[in-house]
Amino acid sequence: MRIDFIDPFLDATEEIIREILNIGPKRGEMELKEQESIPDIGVFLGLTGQASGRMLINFDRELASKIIEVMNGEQHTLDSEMGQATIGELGNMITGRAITKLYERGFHFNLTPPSVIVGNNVKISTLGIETLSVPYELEYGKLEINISIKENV
Amino acid sequence: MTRQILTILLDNDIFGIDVRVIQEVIKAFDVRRIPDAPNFIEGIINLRGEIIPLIKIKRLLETDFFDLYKNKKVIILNFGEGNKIGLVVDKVLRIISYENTEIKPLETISVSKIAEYIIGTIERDKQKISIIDIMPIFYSSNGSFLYKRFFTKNNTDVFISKNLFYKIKEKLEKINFPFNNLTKEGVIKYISKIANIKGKSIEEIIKDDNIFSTSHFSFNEERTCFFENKPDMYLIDEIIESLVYEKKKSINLWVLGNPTGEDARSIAIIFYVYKSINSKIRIINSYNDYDKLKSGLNKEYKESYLKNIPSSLIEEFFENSTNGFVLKKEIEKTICFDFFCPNPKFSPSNIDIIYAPNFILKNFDKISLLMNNFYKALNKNGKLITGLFENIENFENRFKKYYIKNRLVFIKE
Repeated sequence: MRIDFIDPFLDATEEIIREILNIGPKRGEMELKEQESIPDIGVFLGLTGQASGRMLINFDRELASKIIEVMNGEQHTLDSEMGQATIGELGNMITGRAITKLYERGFHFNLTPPSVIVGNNVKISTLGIETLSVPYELEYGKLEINISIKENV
Repeated sequence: MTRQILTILLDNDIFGIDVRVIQEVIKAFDVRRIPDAPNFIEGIINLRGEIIPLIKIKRLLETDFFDLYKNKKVIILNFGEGNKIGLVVDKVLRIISYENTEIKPLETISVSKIAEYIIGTIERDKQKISIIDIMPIFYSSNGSFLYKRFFTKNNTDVFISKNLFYKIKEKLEKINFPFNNLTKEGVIKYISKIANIKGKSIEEIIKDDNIFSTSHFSFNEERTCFFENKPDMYLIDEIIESLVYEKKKSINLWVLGNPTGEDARSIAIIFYVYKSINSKIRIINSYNDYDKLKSGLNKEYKESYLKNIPSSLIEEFFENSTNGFVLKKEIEKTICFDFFCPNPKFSPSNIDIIYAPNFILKNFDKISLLMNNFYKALNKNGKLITGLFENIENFENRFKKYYIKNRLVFIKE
């Protein structure tokens, strides 16, 4: 997968997480996957434009709770509307920044509204489109970004 | 005594050839290629009914630069007795006269083979012109015409004793180069070929550590300059040329094993040299380390990286930047950096050439996975260029073995 597409997403994620939680996430080993899964909670965003694709950000339960707490100044459960809206908003922030970075490099993208998925081990089949999965280790838990972008020729 | 020479340009230097052997100067036209000929043979042309072989003098005499001039001229040399040769040169300048007394011997000792054939230099307009003694290049000392020997090839199998085999193995272990089913045959052939050329025994040859210090034995992913592995680049140039003649709509290449992208950029430069090309070019530079790949993105280069590119051509390919040079945008845009690990399912597709020097050796544990990826990625007739010693025959039978310019290449049928 083209790294000039991946690069802005990783940078954006690292920046936003650092801004919210004040800690730098540690990047783990990347791999290409055929099947994605959402262990606890995830936010799903679609991309259209010069290239099409999507991005899925997975959070551990503990990490998601921490982010919800920090962003709202109070605790909400993952099942509450407020909790899910917060995770959705985080997804928007990351992709929004990534798209700005891509725009600076001359790639034009649009975003679809985020969908938040909560559940235990939800499996998502990519139907043969390769997905790059990048795990991050944080003090409060794990975060995983799954990106899948194909250039429209 | 006054003599006349025709001055020609080879890279940055001016050379002179005695006019008495020159029949005429023409433009290269309708060149027929000869399969499997040595790399200094450009092909043959039909000049008014006479078949004349074209010889790239730069490659024959191993001058220092990679061949980046394309609008070449051909000097037809006539040695009499029907012995004619077309000499392919970068540029033809003019005819000048000189007195024998003007000739000065060569001041510096050059390592390149061309120095053996230089009579001396003269000066015109503050420029040095080296006069080439053209006859000895093409005639042996007993007066027989040599060019016929250029067409003979030598691909016979080599057998060596067990003793020698272990000696070679020992040497390679020292430099951490694997001597296994993939490389064994290639290494032995290579060493015996060098022994043949130098007229020494294999035993003597392997005592010299320099033999094992060439880029063919290197696992290094970093490059110190563009066109670092010249024999490989000549080979790729050759294949690209044939793709350009085919007038394909799009040409896709896949380069592996050099994360920072110097190999990919060298290849992009070769494409750029074929200005008339209408195909859409795409060069995928892939690697399995994200951070190394990222460091190669928009890389700026010091001047030392450009040492294989004639100084008169640097401006054509590079732009100045704050810390040195960057490749021009229109060349750079043909390259994309791609994150790739050998995997069961995904690989680029529609690829015409895969260039993966010593990449299979490095990922030897995943060889079948990698071969699957390569096979899926290639078009019909797509070519897989491995390292000089990597013979995948024993591991993969879907590719056909093929020789281009005496170099093993694998083709998907």
